[in-house]
Amino acid sequence: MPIELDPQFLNTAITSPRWSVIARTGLGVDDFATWDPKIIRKPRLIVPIDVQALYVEEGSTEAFVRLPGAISTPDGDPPEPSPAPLAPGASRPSGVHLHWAMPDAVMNGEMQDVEGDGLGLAPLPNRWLVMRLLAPEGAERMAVTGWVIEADTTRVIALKDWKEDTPEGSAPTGKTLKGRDLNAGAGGSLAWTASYDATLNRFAFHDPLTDIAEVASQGVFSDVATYLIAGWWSRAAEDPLDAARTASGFASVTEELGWRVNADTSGQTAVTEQAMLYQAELATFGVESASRFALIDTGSLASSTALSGAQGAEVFLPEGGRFVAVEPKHIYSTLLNGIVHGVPVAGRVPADQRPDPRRVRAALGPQVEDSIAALTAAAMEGDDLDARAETERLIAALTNDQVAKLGERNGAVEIEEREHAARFEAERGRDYSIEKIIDRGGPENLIAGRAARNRAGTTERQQTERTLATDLTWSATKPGVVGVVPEHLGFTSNYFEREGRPQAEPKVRSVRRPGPRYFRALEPVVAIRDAKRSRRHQEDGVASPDGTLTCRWPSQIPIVIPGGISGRQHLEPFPHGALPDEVVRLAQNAVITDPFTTPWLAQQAAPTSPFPQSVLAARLRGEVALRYSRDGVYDGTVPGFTVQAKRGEASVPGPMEAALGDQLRRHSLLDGVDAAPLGVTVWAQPWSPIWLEWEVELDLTDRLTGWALGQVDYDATPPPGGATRVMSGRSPINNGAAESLTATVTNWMIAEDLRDAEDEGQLDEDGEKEVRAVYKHLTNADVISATLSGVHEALLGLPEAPDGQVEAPDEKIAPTDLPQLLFSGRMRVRAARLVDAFGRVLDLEPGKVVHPAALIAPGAGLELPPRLTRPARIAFRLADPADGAALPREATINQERPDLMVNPVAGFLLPDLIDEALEVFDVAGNPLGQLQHEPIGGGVVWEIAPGREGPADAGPLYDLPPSAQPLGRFAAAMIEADARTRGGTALSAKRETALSAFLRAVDTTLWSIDTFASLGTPHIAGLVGRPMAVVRATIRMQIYDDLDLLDLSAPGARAARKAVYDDLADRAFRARLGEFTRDDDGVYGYFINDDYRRFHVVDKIVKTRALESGRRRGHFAALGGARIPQPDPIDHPYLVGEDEFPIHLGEVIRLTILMHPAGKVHLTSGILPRKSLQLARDWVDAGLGRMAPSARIGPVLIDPDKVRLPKIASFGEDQIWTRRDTPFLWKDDPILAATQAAILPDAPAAIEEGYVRIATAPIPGTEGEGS
Amino acid sequence: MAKATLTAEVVMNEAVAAIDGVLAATDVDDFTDDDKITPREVRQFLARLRLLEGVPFSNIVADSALLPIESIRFFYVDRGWTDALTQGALSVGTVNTGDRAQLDRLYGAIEDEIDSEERLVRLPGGEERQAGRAGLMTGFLLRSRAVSGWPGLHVRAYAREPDGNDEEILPESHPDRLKLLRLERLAPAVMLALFDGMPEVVHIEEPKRGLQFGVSLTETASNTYSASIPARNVQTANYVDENGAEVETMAEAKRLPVRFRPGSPGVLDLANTGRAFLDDDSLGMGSTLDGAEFALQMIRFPYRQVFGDPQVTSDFDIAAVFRPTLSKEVGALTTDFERVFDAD
Repeated sequence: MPIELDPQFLNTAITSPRWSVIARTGLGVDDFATWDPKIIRKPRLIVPIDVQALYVEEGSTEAFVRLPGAISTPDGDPPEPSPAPLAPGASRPSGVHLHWAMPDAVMNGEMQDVEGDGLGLAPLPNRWLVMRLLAPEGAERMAVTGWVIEADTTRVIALKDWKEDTPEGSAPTGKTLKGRDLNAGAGGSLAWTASYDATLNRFAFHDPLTDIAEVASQGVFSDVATYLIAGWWSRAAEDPLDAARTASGFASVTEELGWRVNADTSGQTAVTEQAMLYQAELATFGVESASRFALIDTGSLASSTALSGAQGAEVFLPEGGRFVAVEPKHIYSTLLNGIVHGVPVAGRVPADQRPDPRRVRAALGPQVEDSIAALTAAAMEGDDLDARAETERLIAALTNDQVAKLGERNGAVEIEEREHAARFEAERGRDYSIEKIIDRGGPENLIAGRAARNRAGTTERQQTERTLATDLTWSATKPGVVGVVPEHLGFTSNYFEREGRPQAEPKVRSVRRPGPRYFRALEPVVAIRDAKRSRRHQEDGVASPDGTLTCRWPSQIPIVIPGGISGRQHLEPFPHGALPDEVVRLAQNAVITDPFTTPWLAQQAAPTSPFPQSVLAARLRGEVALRYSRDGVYDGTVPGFTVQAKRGEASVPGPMEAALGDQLRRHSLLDGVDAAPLGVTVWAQPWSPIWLEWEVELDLTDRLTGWALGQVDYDATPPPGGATRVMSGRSPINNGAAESLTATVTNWMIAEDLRDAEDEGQLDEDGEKEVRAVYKHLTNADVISATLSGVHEALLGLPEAPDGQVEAPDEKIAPTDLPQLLFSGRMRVRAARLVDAFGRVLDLEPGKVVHPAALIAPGAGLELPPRLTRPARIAFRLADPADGAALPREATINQERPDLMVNPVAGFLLPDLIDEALEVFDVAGNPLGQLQHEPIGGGVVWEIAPGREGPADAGPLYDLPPSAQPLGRFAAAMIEADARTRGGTALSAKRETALSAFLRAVDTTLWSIDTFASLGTPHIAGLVGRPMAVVRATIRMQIYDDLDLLDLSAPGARAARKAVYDDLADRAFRARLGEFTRDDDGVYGYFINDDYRRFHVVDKIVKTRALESGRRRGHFAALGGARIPQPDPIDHPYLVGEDEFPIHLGEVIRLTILMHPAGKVHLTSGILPRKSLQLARDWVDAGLGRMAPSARIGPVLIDPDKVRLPKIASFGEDQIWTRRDTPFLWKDDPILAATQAAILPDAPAAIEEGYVRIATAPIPGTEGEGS
Repeated sequence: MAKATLTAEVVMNEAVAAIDGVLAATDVDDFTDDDKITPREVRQFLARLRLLEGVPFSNIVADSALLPIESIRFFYVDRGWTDALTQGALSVGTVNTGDRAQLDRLYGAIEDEIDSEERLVRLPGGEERQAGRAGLMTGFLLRSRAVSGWPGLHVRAYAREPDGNDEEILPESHPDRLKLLRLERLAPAVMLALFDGMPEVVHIEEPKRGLQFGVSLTETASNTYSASIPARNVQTANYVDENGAEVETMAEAKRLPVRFRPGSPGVLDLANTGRAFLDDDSLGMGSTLDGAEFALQMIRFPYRQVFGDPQVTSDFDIAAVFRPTLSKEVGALTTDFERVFDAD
C-alpha cells in the first residue's frame, strides 16, 4: 500500500537542516539518538574469536554442572559455592546459551617478581555486542535483535537502548571489575573465562528466545538463527593494538600477539583516509567522534606534570618546555568478532559433538608423560605387559631425547633416571655458596700481530691511557637534555681504532651457587584419549600453517555478491551510534555468507536482481560449497580435496589442499577476505571439555616396611597398603603435554631421516618402525590430561582449596588435620567424568583405566612408591677433610686465592694390583707411604714413602697434616682390620688379607668403571694406574616443613604438627652411593661416619662376583693363561657387602668416598631424584699432575760407579734411584739411562733394591752421559 | 614388578662376555694383505724388542769378565725371557684384571704377528721374506780388535757345513744358510749377531772392499818375521804345491817367500820378489814378468774365520770352554761381607 505523505510536511522536512544532515551522513535517526562521541571510529582490525552456542530445547531435562566461580554474584554478595565434584547437576533454562572464548593474545601473562605484578595479565575486552540475525519467513530483510554486555559490570542492555553510561539495562549479575581487574585470572582460576557459568553476562549470554514469535510472526526460516558477537575495549589504552604507533610497530605488535594481517596497505590507507574525511564532515555538523589524542593547551601547564590524555594515554612533559603537539597519524585498534550460524531456535537438538563414552580411554600414571605413554602403549600392545613396558620405555626415550642411547649402557640407566626424576618438581632452596672463578675471557681477548707488538713495547702509552670521558647531562630545565663532550668521544673512538680492542686482564668472578634444590613429588595425572578435546583455547593459530591467527581489515569484509545480492539490502537497520562502525559491515557480511539461509536470500534477492532465483540460489550454494567441508565445518578448505576430518573438528589444510583451494576460490564472486576458521562456527551442540572430575581410592601407609630400594626407585611386590581413603576433586584439562610429546617425536623422525641420509641413524629399521608406530598412535590419538591436584594437600591435612575462588593473598591457611608426610601404597580411580564449558558431562569407565606397565599394582591400581608430601632434599655436599666437626665446612672453589679454597679431596690412593700394594699420596701429590704385604707373615704393613723423612717404622699417621688425616686413619684401620682377622697369626693359604680383599674389590669395580680408561687423565698417574681420590662428603636429608606457612594459632596445633615432623625422623630411608651400572660413575666404595674399619663396596655384586686376582695370580700371571678370570667371592669382614645405608631426616652422615677423580658419584635414594656430584679440576689437577708412583725395583745389578738403569719412559728425564742407606736415611743417586751401548765397566756390579722415583729437585752432576 | 632393566649383575656379565668379542684389525700387511690386529708401530717395536733392541747391554752382559777382550761368546736366546720382555711392554696401562683379560684375549694374535714381524726387521734387498712361527734364536757377541779394525765384517751362519768346504758361500736363499736376524756393533769393538736357528758353522769374513795385496807373516824369532804368499800357476790361477801340481785350497799351496828392502822393514823389495817368481818353474811364468802376473801372485782374498768346522776336531771338551769366574776371590768376598755386617 502506497504511503500517503503530506506534501507540505514533506517539503518542510526535506528542506530542514536535520534532513540535510541525515541525507549527507547516511545515518539513521536512531543512530543520532544513541550517538556516542567517545567511540573511536577509525577502522579497526577485525580479530576472530570462537563462539559456541548451547541450545536447550523447551522442557529439556539434561543435567548440567554449574561452575559459577568467584565473581558471578553481585557486589557485596558472597560467592556462589561450586558443587562438589561428581555432583549430579541441574537443568538449564531453555533457549540459546552463548559463550565465546577470549583470544589467546590477551590470555597470556608472564610470571613477574613475587612482590610485583603477578602474571601481568592484559585487560579483557569489556564491551560486547551480541546480535541475533534470523530470516523471518516472508520478510525481505533479516531481523536483528541485539544486546550489549558490559563485561566489567555484567549489565546487559538492549541494543536499542545502548549508549555508554546508560542507566538502562539489567541489574548486574556479578562483581564489578574495572579496567585491568577484568583479566584472565580475575575469576579465581586461569580457566574461569572458559566456563559459561563463571562468565555469564561477561563473555557468555543467555537468549531465552521468548521474543521469536514477535520478531518473526510467520515463523523463522529453517528455524535457525545466526549469532554475531563483537567485542572491544571501551578504554583505548587497554586495547592490545594501542602499543603500536607506526606501521612497523604495528607489524611487531601483531606478531607478538600472534596475529597475521593480510597486506592491504593501500586499500587500508584509502579507507582510513575516507573514514577520516567522513568523520571530519560529521564533525562539521556537530556529530563528533572521539580521537585517541587531544591537543592540550600549553598555557595550562603550570609545572612539569604527568598528563592524562583524553583516552588515558600518559605523557611526561618537561617543565616549561616548548613543544609542538602533533596528533599521531598511525593508531590502531581492535574489534573482536565471532559468529555462529545455524543455531536452532525451535525443535530438538539436531547435532551433538559430544563423543561416544565407550570410545574414550584413560590412563592413570605418576606424571603426564608416564600416563600418555601408558595410554599409547596400551592402545598399541593390548594386554602384553612386557611389550607395553618396552613401548613405554621407547616413548620415555623419545621424550627425553635419549633414543640414541637406547642401546647403550648409560642410556638405559639414564632413561630410568629421567623417568624417575620427571615425577618430581624442583624448588630452589634459600641457601647458596660463593665460588671465585677466574675468567680469562674468550679467544677474542687474545691479541696478536701488530696489536700485540704495540702492547709489548708501549708501556708509556698504557700509562697515559685515558678513560672514556663523556659528560652525560640530564636536565629538567634545558631543552637539550643530553649533552656530550664531542672531543672526548672523538678521542676514545680514535684510540680504540688504533689500538684494537684492549686486552682484558683475567677477571675474578664471584659465582653464586644455589644450595641443593628441594623436590616435591608430582601428583598423579590422568590422560584421556579420544575425548574430543576442544581447540578453543591457546590454539587460535591452529588453522594456519605458521600458527598465526588471520585478521582482516574492515575493507576486506565482503558485503556484496555481484549479481544483485547485497548484505545492506537484506539486513534490517539497527541503531549503531554507540557501536564501532564495523559491526554493521560484519552483520551485512553475515547475511550473505550464512549457509543456512541461502534459499531464503535467493528468494528475497530475486526481485531486484537481473538473475532468476534459481541462478542466485545456485550461486549462493556454490559460495557455501567453496568454504565449508563436507561435514559442514567452516575450516577454510575445499571439500573433496582434504582428508576427512573427524566430525566437528577443524582440519589443517596441507600445502596441496591450500593450493587447490586457492585455485577454486578464484571462482568465488565474493570480493574480500574470508574470515579465519576460528571466527565462524557452524552450529552443533558444543562439547569443549575443560574439567576432569574424579574420585580416587587410596590405600596408603606411612611406613617403608615392605619396600626395597631398587635400581632407581623403591620396589615392592605387592605394594603394602594401610588405611583406605577416598578423595575427589576437579582438575583443569590441558592438551599441552600430548602436543609437545607429538612434536618431540615428529622432530626426532625428521632428524632421523636426515641422519639416515648420512647413514648415521640412531635406530635400525626395526627401531624406526617402532617409533613410527608410536608416532602414528600419538598423532591419531586425541589426548588430553589432567593432574589429580589436591591429593597431596589432603594428605597434608589442608582444607580443600576453594574451587574457582579468589584467595586472599598472605592469608595463612589453617590445617584441618595432622599431615601424613610419608605415603606409599596404591591408588585406584573410582569414578571420573569430563565437564565442558557449558557444564555438559561425559562419564569415564573406571574399570578401563590403565597404568604404566611397571607400576601396575595388584587389583588394577597404580602403585605409589614411597614419597614425601612436603618438598625435601638430600644435601649431598663435598666437605673439608680437615674439619672434624659434626657438620664440616663445605668445599669451595676459589681460583683467586687457592689457599683459601676448601678442597674436599684428602689425597689419592694408587692401587698396584700386580704387586698387591696400595700407594698413598697427599692432596698435593706427594707420596706418603704404601700399604703392602709383609714378605714372611703375609700381613698388611705400612711402609713410609721412599725419600720421605721419617723412621723406617713410621706408622700411617706419622706427621700428617689435618687434611690428610683420613688417609692415615684409612691405612691404620686397614692394618688393624687385617691383624684382627688374622688373630695375630700368619696368613694361611686359604685366607687373604684386608689389603688383598680391598684390592680385589677395587679390581672388580674397575670392570664397570671407566672400562677403557675413557674418563681419561692427562697425568702419569692415570697412564700407569688408576688413581683414586679420597673425598670427604656429607649427606643430610631435609624436609621443608610448613610450620611457618600455616595458621597454627589453634591451641596445641603447632606442637601437634611439629610432633608429626619429629616422628618422621624415625623412618630409615635407604640410600646408595655410586652406581655400578653407569660407566661414568667413579665410586669404588666408601666409609660411613669415619668408621674406617668397614669398607662399603659400591654394589653387593662386588663381593659376590669378585674375580680371582693377586700377585702372579689370575690375569696377573703370564699372558696366554686364563681367558676369563674365575669368580672368587670375597669373605673378608673388612668389606661390607651391603651397598645401602639407612638415612634419617635431619641426620648428618659423614662419608669418605674413594672415587675416580674424573668420575661422578651418584646418590640414589628413590624417595628423591638421583643426584650426582663430580670433583672440580681445581681440586684434583695439581695433585694428579705431581703424583707419580715410585717403582720398586730389585734386586738388580747396579754399577757401583754410576747407576745405570732403564729409565721409566713416563717419568720424564730426571729420575733418581732411592734406597735406604741406614734405617733413618735415604740415599738418592741420579739414574743414567742404560742403553744398548756395550759399556763394560771394570768394577763388578753390586746387587741392590730400591725405588726409581722422579727427581723433584735438579740432581747435581747429571751432565755428561745421558741417552 | 621389577622395574630395573639394567642391573649390576647384567653389567658384570656383559663386561666379562665382551672380552670374547671379535678382534678388530688395525692394519694390513703390505705384502700379504692380511689383516693385522696389532698396530704397525707396536708390532715393529715389539719385534725389535724380541731382537734385544733397546735392552741395556748390562742386562745382556752383567759383568765385563763374561766378555773378555778378544773373545767371542756364542749363545742361545731364551724365548721365555724375550716373551716376558714383550709381555712387560704390553702390560703398560693394563692395570686391572679387566685390562689384562682384554690383553690376554689379544695376546695370542699379537704373538703370531710379532713372530712374522721379527724376520722383517732386517731384510736386506733381494732377500726373500720368510714366514712361520719364530723358533730357536742363537747368536754371538764378539769383542775384538777385528770389529773395530774391519768395520763391515761379513757374518754367515750355516745349518750345515757347505759342501765340506770353508771357502764356499751359499746364497741367502739356500736352505742351509741361516737368516741373520740382527747384526750390530754395540761398541767400537763389540759385535752382536742373532741367527734364526741353530748354526753348525759360522763364517766371519773380512769385508770385501776391493782387491789388495797381502802377505802371510811367520814369526821366526823374537820380533822377527818372514813373509810368504801361496803360489799360483799364472796360466790357470790355481794354487800349486811343492811339486808343481795344482791343488784346491790355499792351505795345500806351496809358500813363496816375499822379500823386503834391506834396512827398510815393511817395504817390499819388488825387483827381487819378482825375480824369485820368475825363478820358480812351477808357476807357469815365461821369461819375463809382467804386472798382471805379479799381481796374481800377490793378491790376497779377504780373510775368513770359520767357527764350528766339523772337520776340525779338538782334544778338549768344548763345553768346558765357557767357565764363569768371579773377579773377586772368595777371601776378598768374605772380607767384604764382614765389613757390611760390622757396619750394622
